[in-house]
Amino acid sequence: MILKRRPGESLYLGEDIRVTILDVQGRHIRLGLEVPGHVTVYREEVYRRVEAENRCSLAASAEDVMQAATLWNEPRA
Amino acid sequence: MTLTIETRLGCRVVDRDGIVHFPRGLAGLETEKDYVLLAVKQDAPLLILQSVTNRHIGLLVADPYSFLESYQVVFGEAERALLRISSSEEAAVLVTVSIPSGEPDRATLNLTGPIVINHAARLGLQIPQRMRTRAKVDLHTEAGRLSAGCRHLCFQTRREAGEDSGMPGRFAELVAKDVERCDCPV
Repeated sequence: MILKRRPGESLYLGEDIRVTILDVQGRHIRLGLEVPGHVTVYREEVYRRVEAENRCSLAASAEDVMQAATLWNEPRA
Repeated sequence: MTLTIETRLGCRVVDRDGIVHFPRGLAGLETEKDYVLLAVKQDAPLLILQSVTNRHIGLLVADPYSFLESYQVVFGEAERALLRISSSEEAAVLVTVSIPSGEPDRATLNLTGPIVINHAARLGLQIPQRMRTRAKVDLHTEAGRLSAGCRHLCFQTRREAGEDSGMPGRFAELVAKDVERCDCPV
């Protein structure tokens, strides 16, 4: 879905979320968000980064995991 | 009451009371909602956040405060409500750990997506952080930096302070104590 809004105009998403285009500052478009208390708001690139980090932490082999834990106990050379 | 589950570390018998529920799952794993914490090795601050329903889903995690002098997690009202906490004392923080394949000495802590647990209520939530400074730290270097060259000194200090041997006190009650191995074929 693609809509056009001018600065100052708003959208209602469902019953409880309102998005307002505030203004444009250079290359940034400022958005005002009104959301109910239980709704989380995350920047997409941040969420994607966390997904990637989770995949990395899943991927370690059992050998690497055990070795990393063993290294912890050894005094640094 | 106990539960027998297959994990990344093999078959384990765990206490049902130790299961932490993640109402939103984890980033990229939104449908897996129930996990237990397993110790990788006694006296090491690395843990596995293991799904109780999928043996392949076990994230390597660590207590960041075993390695970093400070790490501030920002969370808003929605996260507080989901975790049912009103103060930071009720929450314990874990971060995921990445290990480049075959290079366990280059393990890093990922600081962008801390996993916050209300240990009393057994609720967990991963809270993406908009990082302003560093997002990844070298696990072994940081530990060395914390005190004169000896990376396990901070752990020794904790022990001397009376905290649970080898495991940050906050997690002691959550980490599956029963590392009994069962006979089921893996």
